[in-house]
Amino acid sequence: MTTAASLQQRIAGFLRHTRDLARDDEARRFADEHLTGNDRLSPVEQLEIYREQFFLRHTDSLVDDFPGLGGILGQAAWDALVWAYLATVVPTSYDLGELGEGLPAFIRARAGLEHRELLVDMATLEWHHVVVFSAPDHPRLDPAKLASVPEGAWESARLVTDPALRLLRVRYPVGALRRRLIAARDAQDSEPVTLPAEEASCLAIHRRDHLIQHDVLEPSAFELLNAIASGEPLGRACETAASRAGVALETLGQRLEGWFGVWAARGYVVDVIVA
Amino acid sequence: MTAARLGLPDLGVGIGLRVPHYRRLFAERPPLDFVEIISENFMGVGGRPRYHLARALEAYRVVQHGVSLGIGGPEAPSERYLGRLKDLARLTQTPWVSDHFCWCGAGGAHLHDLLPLPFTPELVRTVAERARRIQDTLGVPFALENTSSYLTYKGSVLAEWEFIGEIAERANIGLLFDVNNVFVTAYNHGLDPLEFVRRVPHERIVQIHLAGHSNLGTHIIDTHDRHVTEPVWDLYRLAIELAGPVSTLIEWDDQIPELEVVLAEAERARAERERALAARAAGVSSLDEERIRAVREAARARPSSTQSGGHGTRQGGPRESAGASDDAPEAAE
Repeated sequence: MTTAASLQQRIAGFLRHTRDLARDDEARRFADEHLTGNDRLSPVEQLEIYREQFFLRHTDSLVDDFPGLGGILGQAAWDALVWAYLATVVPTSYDLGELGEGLPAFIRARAGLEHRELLVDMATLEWHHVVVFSAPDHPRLDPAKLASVPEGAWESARLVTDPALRLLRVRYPVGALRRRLIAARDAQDSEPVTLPAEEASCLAIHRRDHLIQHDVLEPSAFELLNAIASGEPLGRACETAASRAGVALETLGQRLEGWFGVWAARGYVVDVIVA
Repeated sequence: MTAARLGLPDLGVGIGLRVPHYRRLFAERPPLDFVEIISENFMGVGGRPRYHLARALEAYRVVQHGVSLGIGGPEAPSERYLGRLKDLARLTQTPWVSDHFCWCGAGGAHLHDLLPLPFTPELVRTVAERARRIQDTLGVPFALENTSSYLTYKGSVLAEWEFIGEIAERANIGLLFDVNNVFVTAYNHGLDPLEFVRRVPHERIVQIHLAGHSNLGTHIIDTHDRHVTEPVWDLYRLAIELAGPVSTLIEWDDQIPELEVVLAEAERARAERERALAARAAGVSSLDEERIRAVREAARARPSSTQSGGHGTRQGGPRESAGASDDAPEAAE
C-alpha cells in the first residue's frame, strides 16, 4: 500500500467514529503525527470537522429518503438510530440513494426499539419507494402484442412486470401513515401523529407518470403478481398463487381477466413473452 | 502554446440546476447561458430525475459536474461509475465533464465528501495518470476543481497551486477554478488567496465556480448557502483578468432562496466579469491597492467573526428523492 493510501485508509476509519475524535486518544495521536493543525484548530479538531460532516451529510440523506420512519421515531430516537446504522453499515456506493438499503434489516435486528414491527414496515416501504423512484423507464404494454398471443400459449407465457413495480406485504397501514407524517412535516405541525393499530395489507408500490402510488391488492391477486414478477410462467404462477392464498385454482382463474385488465391499465405488466 | 480555455467555448454565466427551482425554470425559462447539473443526481436510468433532465436539455445548454469520482483515492474510480458517467455525457452533450482534486473513500467505503489530498509527487503521478485515462474513456474534455479544505497534511511538499497545475499539465486536462474555494482554503490555512489565483495555469481554466461560505471564526465551511462575499468577487475579477472570458457558474446548494435571488447573483457575476474583461483589455487591474489589502485582510482568520453554520454541506443541493410530498394517494383494486 502506498503512503497516501495508508493515510487515507486510517482517515476513512476515523471519519466513521460516532463520537468526537478529540476525545479519542488514537485519533489524537494519528492527527498529531500526520496533520498540521494551525493556531486556531489542533490537528484532531481539523479531522473532527470532516467526521461531523460525514454524519450530518448522511443523516440528511436518510431524512430525505425515510421521512415516515423519521416521523414515527422523532428527532432524538431517529438520530440515535441513524448514527448507529452509519457506524455499522459502510456506505459503498457513489449513489447516496443506496445508503438506506440495509435500514429495514438493521431495524429488525436492533434491540430496545419501541414499535419495531411498525418501523420495519415503514422502512421497507420507504426503501421500495427509493428503488421505484429511479427504476428504469419502460414502455407500456403494446395491445397489439397482447392480442397476438395464441389462445393456447397463455399457460406457458411469461408476463414481464414494470421495473418500477415492487410488491410488499405489511402488518400496518404504513402507506396512509406515511402520507400523514409527511403532511405534518410539511405543515411544520408539532402535534404528534397517532400511530395506527395493526391492519395487514398487500401493497403494490408503483411509479406512474412520475408519481409513486401504493395500490392495495387482494391477497390472491398479490400472490399471483408476486409469482409472475419472480418469472414463473402464467400457468404455474396461478398454481403458486392459489396454493399460497389458500383459494381454489378455478376461483382464481375466474378473477384473472379482471385483475389483468387493472394491471395492464396501471402499467404493472409491460410485456408478454411467449415460450 | 496552450490555447485559452484549452480551446473550449466560453459559455457565459450560468447557475446550478437545483430541485426547488425546477418548476419555474422549466415553465418560465429565464435567460441563462447554461445550467450545471450534478452528474450523480442523473446517473440513474429512469424516473423523475431523467424526466427533469430532459426538460433542462430542452431549455438550456447543460454542463456536467461530478462530486463522487474520488480521483485521488486508494482505489481507482470504478468502471461502473465511469460507464454511467459516459452514458450521461453522451445524453447531455456536455462540452466538458468535471470533478474534484480529492478523494472520497477508502477500503470500499464511500464517504461522500471531497477530502483533501496530500500535495505530494506520488499523488501528482497517480492523479495525472488517472485523469488522462478518464478523459480518454469519457471521450470529452475533462477538468478537475480545486476543493475547499479544512485540514492540511504534514506530508505535503508542494503548494496547492503547484499540485493542481502540475497534474493539469501532465494529464492535459482543464481546471475548474473555484474562486470561493481559494478564499476558504486561504482563510483556513493562512495562505495568500491572491497568490493562489496568480499561480494557477490560467490558460487551463475552462470554468469558474462562485458560491457563498460560512465563517465560523476558527475556520470557514464551504456551505454554498448565501451570497458570494466581496473578497471573492475581487478574486473572481482577478481570475478573469488573468484567464480572459471563462464560463462562470453560481452555486447555491443550501438554504436555497427564490429563483430571482440566484438569477440576480448570476447578473452580478456577469457585471463583475465585464468589468474585469474591460480592465484586461485596457491592460490594467480592477483591483487597486485598497481592494488588495481588503482581500488579504478578509482572508486572515479572526475568531470573533462567527456566522451561523454547523449543518451537513451538500454539493449540488438536496437530491430529488422519493421522500417528496407529492406522491399519489392510495388506490384499491
